[in-house]
Amino acid sequence: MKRIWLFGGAMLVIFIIAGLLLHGESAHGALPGTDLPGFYAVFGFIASVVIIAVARGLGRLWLERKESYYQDHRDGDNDHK
Amino acid sequence: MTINSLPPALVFVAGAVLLLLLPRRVRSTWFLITALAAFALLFRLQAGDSLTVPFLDHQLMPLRVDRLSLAFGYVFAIMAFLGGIYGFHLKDSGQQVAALLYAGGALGVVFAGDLFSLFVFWEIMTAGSVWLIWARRTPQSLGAGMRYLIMHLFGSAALLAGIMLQYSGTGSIAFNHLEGGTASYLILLGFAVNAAIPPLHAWLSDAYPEGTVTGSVFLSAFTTKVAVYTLARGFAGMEVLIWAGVMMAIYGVIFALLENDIRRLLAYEIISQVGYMVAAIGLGTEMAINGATAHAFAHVLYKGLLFMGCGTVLYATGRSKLTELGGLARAMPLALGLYMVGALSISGVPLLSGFFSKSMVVSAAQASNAGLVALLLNVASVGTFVLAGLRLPYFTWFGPDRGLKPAAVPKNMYLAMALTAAICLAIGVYPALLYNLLPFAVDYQPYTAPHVLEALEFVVFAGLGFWLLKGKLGGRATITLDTDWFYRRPARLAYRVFVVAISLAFAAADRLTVRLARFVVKFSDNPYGYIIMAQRFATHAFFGNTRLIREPSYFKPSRYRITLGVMVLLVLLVFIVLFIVQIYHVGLR
Repeated sequence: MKRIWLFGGAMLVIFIIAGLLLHGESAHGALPGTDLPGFYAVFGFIASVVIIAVARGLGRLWLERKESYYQDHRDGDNDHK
Repeated sequence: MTINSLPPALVFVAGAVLLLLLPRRVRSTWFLITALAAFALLFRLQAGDSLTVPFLDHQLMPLRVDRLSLAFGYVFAIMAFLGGIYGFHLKDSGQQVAALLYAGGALGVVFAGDLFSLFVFWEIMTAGSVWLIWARRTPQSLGAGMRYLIMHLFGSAALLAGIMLQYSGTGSIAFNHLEGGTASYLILLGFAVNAAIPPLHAWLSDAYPEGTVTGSVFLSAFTTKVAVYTLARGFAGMEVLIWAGVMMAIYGVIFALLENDIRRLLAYEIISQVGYMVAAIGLGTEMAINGATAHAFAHVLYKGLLFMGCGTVLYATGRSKLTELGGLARAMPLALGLYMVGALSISGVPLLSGFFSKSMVVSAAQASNAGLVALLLNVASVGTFVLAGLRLPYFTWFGPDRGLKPAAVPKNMYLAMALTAAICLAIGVYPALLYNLLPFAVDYQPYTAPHVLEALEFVVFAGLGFWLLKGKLGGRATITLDTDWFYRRPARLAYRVFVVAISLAFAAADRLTVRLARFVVKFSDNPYGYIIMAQRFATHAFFGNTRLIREPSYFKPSRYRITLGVMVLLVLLVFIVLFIVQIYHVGLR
């Protein structure tokens, strides 16, 4: 686990340095802050964690059902032969 | 009619009819010949070509060529050919005919210059596609296909109503940009069903995973992208589509993250990807429409490739759930490698097709000062990579080894995947190939250093997020509630109300009639008995001194028959009377 964080930190530093070197010819920049070096690294990490957490939360609290959900609740063929 | 005014859809329709007349062993080859012929015809078509056919009082226009329709036409013909290779081993002519009709319908819509022709091809497309679902011949596919059909018929009904209103309002059936008003909103509703815009999307995630291995490859290509074309033609610049598209992009990713079935996961991702195109159409600038077209073009190919990859897994193992798959890397490395080309394309990794098509859309949003749209699309982009690039392949080909022994996969399936992967790569490395096909002149350079850096940052850090949370991302044996709940769950109630209740009412009426008939028979058999019964009942009710009888005593004819003694007595009396009369008249002599 520690090594993952180390790897992430190292990559972030690399990206920030690369971003600084390339600064000034940014492709995007419609929202303030997106020009900052390393922005998309941090953004990518946070976005992935958030979207996974949101999906998991929605699934756990509301959306996930057992696989036979629709079969169990189907009348018809079985009930009225 | 010259060759330049022949609708490519007719080639597919004629090919489908002729296919059935050919011997079984050459039908797969004929499928490919048909697709090639259509492509050759498309290649000769140029912007400006058209065909008008007089019909009743109208001028129908089954062919109207411009750059927008050509771009969609090319990729549909290419995909029909690649799908034909993927399904070359099939001996199921039903699927082959359905696929040809489906492709023909898609091309027909794309080149339709008027709303009537569009509607006819729209319906051909629906009819062809549903057989690709039913061809799997499982109870699930039958049910999902029926629900698919019902949703699409609902959309078609809205579309037809809109077309009629449009005609009665404007007197024109030409299909061009549509201005607001009830007619155009109804048409929009029809298009929105096919574009799978939530909450009208559940047919897609419900039915596509239930299609056949080959059928789902075709399904993933045509319906939604045809809708993208019609939206781009009719509703470019409609602001509500921007937010509909953004919502789709995020919605698809969230539901795909919860999904256990790999082909359903991909189906949810179609919704997410089509969201980019819908958002771009909503922006409506030249750059955005170019982006939508480019993304649709790239998407048809890489999504086809992803469905092919998961199709080979399903073909080889008979399984498609993450909870039942795992450890296939050693047994199916080729499928993994080719799948990953598609997965990295959809994730927007540099050198592959999705890299520039997706960023064209995002850049178009930024150029229109819609920074929030761009940012939210980027969130969906991160999610897409986590899903298709990491979650699906990790838990299918790596993950826990379930000791699966995959069957051999026909070589043509791998060939189709390799060709598709090659096109994804070619477009990614040399985007100018695609630029020349886009509707407007392109002034966009994807391979700038900051842009490539941005893509790499996304990939590395989204990957990091996945690695940290991958314990939470494995498949779970569940299904996810979606808007299909609204027509699946109340199905029980609807069944009760419309089927059970009605048949119960009929049964009651039936029983009542039979009882009545039985009573009439009994009553006319013994009316006196009932009169006695009624009399007894009345006496009982007023005086309470007699015993009630529930049934009249059984009718015995002898009870009412006059006895022989009485008859003899009567005869004797008559004789006596006659005798007396005689004596009276004649006297005793």
